[in-house]
Amino acid sequence: MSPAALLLAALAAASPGPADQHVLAGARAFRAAHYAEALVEFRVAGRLDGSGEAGWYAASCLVRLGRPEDAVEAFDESARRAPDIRDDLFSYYNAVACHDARLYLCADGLLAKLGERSGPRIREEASRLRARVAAVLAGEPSKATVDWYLARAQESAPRRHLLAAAYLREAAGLAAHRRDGYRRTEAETSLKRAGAAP
Amino acid sequence: MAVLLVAAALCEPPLPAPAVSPLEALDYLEVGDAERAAGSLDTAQVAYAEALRLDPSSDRARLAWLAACVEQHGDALLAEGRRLLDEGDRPGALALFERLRSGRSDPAVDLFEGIALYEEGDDERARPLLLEAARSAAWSARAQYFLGLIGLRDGAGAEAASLFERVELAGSGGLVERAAVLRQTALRTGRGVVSVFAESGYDSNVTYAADSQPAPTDGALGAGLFGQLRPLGLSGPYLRASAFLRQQLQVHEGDLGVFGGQAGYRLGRGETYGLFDYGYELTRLGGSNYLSAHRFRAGGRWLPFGRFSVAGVYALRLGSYLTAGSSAYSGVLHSLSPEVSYRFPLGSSMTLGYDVFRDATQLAETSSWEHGPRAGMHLLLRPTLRASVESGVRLRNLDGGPVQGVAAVSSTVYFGSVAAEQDFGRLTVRLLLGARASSSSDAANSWTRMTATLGVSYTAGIF
Repeated sequence: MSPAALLLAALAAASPGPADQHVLAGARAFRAAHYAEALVEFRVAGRLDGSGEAGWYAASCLVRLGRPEDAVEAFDESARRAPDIRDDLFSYYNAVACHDARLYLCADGLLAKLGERSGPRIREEASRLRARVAAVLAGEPSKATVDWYLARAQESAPRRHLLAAAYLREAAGLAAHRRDGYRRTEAETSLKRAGAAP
Repeated sequence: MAVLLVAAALCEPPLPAPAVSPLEALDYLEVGDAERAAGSLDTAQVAYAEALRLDPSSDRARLAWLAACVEQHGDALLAEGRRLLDEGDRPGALALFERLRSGRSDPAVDLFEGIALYEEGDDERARPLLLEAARSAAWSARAQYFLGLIGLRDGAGAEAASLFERVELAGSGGLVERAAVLRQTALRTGRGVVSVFAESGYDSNVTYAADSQPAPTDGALGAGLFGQLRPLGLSGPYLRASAFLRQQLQVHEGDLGVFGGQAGYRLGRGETYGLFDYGYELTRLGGSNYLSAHRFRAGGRWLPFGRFSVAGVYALRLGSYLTAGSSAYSGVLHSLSPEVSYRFPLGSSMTLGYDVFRDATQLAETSSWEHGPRAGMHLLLRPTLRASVESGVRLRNLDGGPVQGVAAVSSTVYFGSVAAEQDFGRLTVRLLLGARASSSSDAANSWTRMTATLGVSYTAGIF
């Protein structure tokens, strides 16, 4: 099964509630590859249902819509609001979002945690993605790379604190891979100031 | 409405849901707003469409859907606006441009809305938009061109000439040619304009001798002055003064002097305007005062659609002929001159008109009706070279004969002229060839006259 089909299967198993109608409409749209329609339905469901479950689906739609930074934020938000909902499928989509947003350490961490329950198709996709991530992360990251993530965090900070925190985590992690720990303290301090643990 | 129709063609408005649900629509509106704020127009469009489907009567949903559609399909709507503008549907184009401009900055939209407003004659609103567009390198030349046109229309000749010169330096293609044409015009316009001119001419029949008689041919030298003040620009009051003297080389009874002044008001800078004025004119002929005339005039021009314009002027002249032989012609002359014009893209134009004159004098034998059609073609051959052709027919019927029982004279006058003008900066050389022929029930009034005039003028906008 493809990741999209797996997501649908997960939806079919979703518990009934006031937002069901929209969740199912979103699922139908997702299956038809109408990701904008699916996102809208999941967003509406999220407004009607306080459980935070729809947020995971909406975040997956954002990945499909090619909005990785929005997806990273949405996954982070969902992880805070409804951490128990996370499963291997969402983690896989989250990893894709991180990869597409150039948050390779984030992607690598998520892919590493994927369990055996994720099924052969997801495992296969995840394995390919992890190999690409590993290729990017091979060797010591340059100072310019660390600078880029810190700058990106600074740009995002005024309005998108979750995204900024994700970039800071990436910067801190990359700096830790350097022998000189270039700007690591700065990244970690900024992360603490932003209220997020490294 | 035009915007809705165009948006409907681009964004497929949703069919109403079987059951209206305003509360559910609100949820979709909120999602749409959030997506739009995040910069995701396509998703916002989906959410707004669903809101509109669930509540078709919601203004908020309709406007939000429309705004997202406009934002998402900006280029297509701009192209549609330009098409409407080209087709002369300025209100439709303006509605689109205004919608496109709301909430975002786009120099292309500024430019085309500025052009539409200029064509509407609304220079006040057009100017800031064109200035904004002129800041964009891609649209600067075109924006400056239209700013120049506004300057020209406002009588700011020096400013307009400077703008057209910049367009010539920076632009390309047809725009440069048109700017070159207009710079020549701008150099000779302004809120204060003076002109001096001199001419030499040939006249095959100075005294309008009947065809049965030998016609006295003659040459002439002439010179004149003209001045005009428009303190508030094209729209507003104006003052004009002119003097012209022509000396015949042999037939001095044809020596002519015309001195006049005019005060009036024009309302409207654009193609659509109205005017009225009063003028006084003294004509001297053969060394004596010949005609003293007060003239009142009112008229206007209207651009109903596209490149067609309709114009008309009514004039009333109170004339006193001052020589013994001509005093019987003193009286009131009414004239009405409606016309229709078509303006070609590069400045050439074609005009069809019909003139009606009623000369009401103290005597039936000198009172007359005169009317007839005319046609003209003005061609812009090169930026500095113009040519024109005009022709027409006039039917003239006197009210009564010279004595009881003698039929009133009726005449048909055919006329035509060809002119060419070449500019050399502020100097203009002009060649005019004219012909008039009268065919009358009275042989004494049947005549033929040919003229040729070569003149040069110097015109300057002084401020």
